Amino acid sequence: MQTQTIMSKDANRSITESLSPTSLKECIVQSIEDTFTPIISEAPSYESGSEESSCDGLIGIISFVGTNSFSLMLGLPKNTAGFFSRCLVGFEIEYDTPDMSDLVGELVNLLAGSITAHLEKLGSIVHMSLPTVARGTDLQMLVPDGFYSMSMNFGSCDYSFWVKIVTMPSKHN
Amino acid sequence: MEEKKKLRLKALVVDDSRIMRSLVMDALRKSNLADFDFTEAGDGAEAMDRFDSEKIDIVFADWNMPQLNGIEFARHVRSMRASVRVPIIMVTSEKAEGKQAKAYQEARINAYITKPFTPEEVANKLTPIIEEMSKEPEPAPTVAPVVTQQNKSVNTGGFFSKLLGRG
Repeated sequence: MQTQTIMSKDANRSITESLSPTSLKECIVQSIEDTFTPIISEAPSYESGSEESSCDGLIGIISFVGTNSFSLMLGLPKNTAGFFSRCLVGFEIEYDTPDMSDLVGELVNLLAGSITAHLEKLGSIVHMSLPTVARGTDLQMLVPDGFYSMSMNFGSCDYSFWVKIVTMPSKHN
Repeated sequence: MEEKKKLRLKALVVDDSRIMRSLVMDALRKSNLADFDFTEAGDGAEAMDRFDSEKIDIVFADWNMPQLNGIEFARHVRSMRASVRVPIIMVTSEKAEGKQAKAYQEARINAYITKPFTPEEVANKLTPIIEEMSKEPEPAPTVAPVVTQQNKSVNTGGFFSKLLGRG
């Protein structure tokens, strides 16, 4: 109910105004559910409270430019990357291969496509970049001073992943 | 019921993700709508090199790719007179309605499939296109035919004279 109220409120704003961070976050949570539910056959469980955004694994990064400009990061620990490969392609892709990086790039790409569609419905027109994939241990995305960021964690017994958004501060912050 | 003979189609699959190209080809095989011979390309520029209107019957292209994106590739294909009728199907993560409208209007694609997709969704989008291809007559000649009467060349002067005479 609260989500609906926030979304409706922002839908009435001027088309040139960017969304509030709260509305952007709601949009992204909805996009995560829409994107990953068909892949893993369940809605990803949002873990409110914890905001860890580092991992030993892979991070897919996409930037958005338009009415809202922000960067989005999808962090997949090693075991989750394997889990998602089994769900999407039917078998486990070997972790230390270009194909695994390809998979993570595609996952964040799928998520980005859903985000642009949801934002369009709210009057926010954005264009997404091609994905970049980083791989390593204790990966963290450092945020420059003055930028606004928010992290969301999702998990179950089979997987865990996080999504981080970084954007310029707006009048909403 | 007598089984229709399946078309044999040469398909160009364009995506910068090797995994996604495999998923597209797998879905097309499972659709059982045609027997496909696949050619792959990793981006629009590579697709331009591999596309040959005499050899490719149908194209499946991603949108966001390095070098040359799917929309630009589709525009190039449509600008080639001989390939105006080659079906182009966009297979992309872009779900925004504005993007879909752009693909249909600017690139004159034939169908739009959003990722992730199931083989059933691919079959549903592709069925009318394949059925249309099954009905298609022989392609129109690319060179205008020379019209001649037997042992005579066309004499438009004689034709108009007769017309005026009758008028």
